[in-house]
Amino acid sequence: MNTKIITTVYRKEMLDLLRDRRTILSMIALPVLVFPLLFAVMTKFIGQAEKKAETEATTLAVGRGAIPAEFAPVITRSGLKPIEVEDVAVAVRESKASAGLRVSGDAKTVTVYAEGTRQSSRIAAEKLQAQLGQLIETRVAASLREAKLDPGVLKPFLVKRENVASERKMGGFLLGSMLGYIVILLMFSGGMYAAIDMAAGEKERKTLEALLASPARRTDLVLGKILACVTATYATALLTTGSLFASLKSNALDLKGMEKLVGSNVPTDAVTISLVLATLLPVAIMAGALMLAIALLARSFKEAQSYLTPLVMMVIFPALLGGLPGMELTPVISLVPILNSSQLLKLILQGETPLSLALLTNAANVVYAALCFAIAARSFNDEKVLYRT
Amino acid sequence: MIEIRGLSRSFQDPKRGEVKAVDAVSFTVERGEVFGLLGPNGAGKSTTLRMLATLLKPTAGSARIGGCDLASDPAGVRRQIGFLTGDMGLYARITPRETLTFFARLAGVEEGLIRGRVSGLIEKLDMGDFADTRADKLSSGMKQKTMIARTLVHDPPVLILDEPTATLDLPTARIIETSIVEARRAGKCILYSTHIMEEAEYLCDRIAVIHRGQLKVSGTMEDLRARTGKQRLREVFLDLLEIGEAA
Repeated sequence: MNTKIITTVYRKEMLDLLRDRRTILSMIALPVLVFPLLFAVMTKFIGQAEKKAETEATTLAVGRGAIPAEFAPVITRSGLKPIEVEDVAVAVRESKASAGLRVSGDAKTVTVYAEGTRQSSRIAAEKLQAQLGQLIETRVAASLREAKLDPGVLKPFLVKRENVASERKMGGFLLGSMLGYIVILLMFSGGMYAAIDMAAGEKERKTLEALLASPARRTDLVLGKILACVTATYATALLTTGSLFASLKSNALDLKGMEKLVGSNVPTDAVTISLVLATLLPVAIMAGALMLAIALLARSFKEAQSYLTPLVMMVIFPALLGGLPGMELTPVISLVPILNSSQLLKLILQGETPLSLALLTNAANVVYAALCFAIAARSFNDEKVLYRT
Repeated sequence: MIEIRGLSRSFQDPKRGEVKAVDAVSFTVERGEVFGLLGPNGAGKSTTLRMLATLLKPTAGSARIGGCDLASDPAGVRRQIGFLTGDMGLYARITPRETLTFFARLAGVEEGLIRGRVSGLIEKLDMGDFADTRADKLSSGMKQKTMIARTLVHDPPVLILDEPTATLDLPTARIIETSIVEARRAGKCILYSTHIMEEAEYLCDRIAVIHRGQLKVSGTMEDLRARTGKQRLREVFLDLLEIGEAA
């Protein structure tokens, strides 16, 4: 192994990549902007949607002259403005009122109408139901008092439910699902153009023969290329992760909506960030080497794109699967590439890194990375691959 | 300097079975000599030269270049040669100066010598005006000069040139021809394939005609004329291919 040659090829490839607009976009711009943009849009959207629903939950459809007088205070306390209509259900369905109320002739059945797909309708119905619940409790209490019974007889004990998961765990769960999915996806797409440019691009530009006819050993040439491709892939991971944590720490972004989703106690300490980056490194090596090996099979940029785009799509599934609730890191899942790292990332952000499974996951990914590395190096020495017609 | 003995290369074709692209070709080329390889398209010229450039592995035979054996010391062979073909390209986002520096490093030129070597070639080939311009902004003539400089940057004693002027206009082809003449004067051994007869007649000290993978004949222009009784290389060539009469 000639480190001087490897460094020479690596430096040239990096210079070449950094002068390419497509690479700059997929390797730098997109990873840096994705989380601030995602958070800004989500924060704005969640806040606005809630506000809009709250302000729109204002009216209540009631049958014409069909509401007994004793229900009037309930409606008043709910804050909803009653509108008399012929058909309550139709009025709610057609958005003429936020929710609806119908009381049967004997006043024994009270029906609350809501349009389940409209948040404002659900909010209005909840407001009304809360007041109806209070009315029931008041009446029951009065009846019990009349019968000289203690109202407490209906509640022999109190049922409480507490979430024992820490705020960090709750936030880490959601953030981990998002990080595993988005970072791994961006890593592959960030390294894709680099791999194509360094492999199929050499064939398309007709520069490959000059490179292969140089006195440098082929293995040294391909090692320089693989390292450059891994750098592109890992740089995407670093920038995406950095962008995520910086967005969470930044005061520039109004993250009130995000705090509601991921909690305000998501760890941004050095240990967590280091664990995340250490998990992503073997994945980056595997991704870079694998994409270069595949791109070498292609004769042109376009052909390489058609090989690698499905690969990126395939990566989405295990990454997405890893983010699903109920999916846990087990010794078997630790051996499944992509799925294992997306699961591990989730656990790291929840503050619950299982040492043995983390080591197994990273060891498996190192083996896969070495395998992809060997395949890429072998392809670069195979004239059938290089001179495929 | 170049010594080839029974060099062969076969390919497996799904329809035609085994195809002999080069069939037991033998010749030698000396220092300070331009040896022309003439042949129609598909004759086996490019395959022969690619084997000598270590890009394709021979299926039989042997070759030595500058004392290095093709099979056992391919890296040694590559240190001896500069390889250029007519359809080679350049890295679009890299300047000629960066390209030459890159290839000089790959060839193991001492770090202290690289800057002077690159500047010398830029001056010699009159590349100063565009040496620091990205390759995708260069004209075809500028690109061709850069590729010649790339071939010469490690000062190889042997040049292997595969139809380097095939796709060029006359002024650009002239740049290559001039470089070949200068390289011969500098004592380099040059193996040159072409199907442009005038060029071969003007540049080559000896000419070999290759057809259907086999070397039909080789010698000086005088030898070929004496053998065929024809004067112009074009007629000699057609005669040797046994299609002169038919045409």
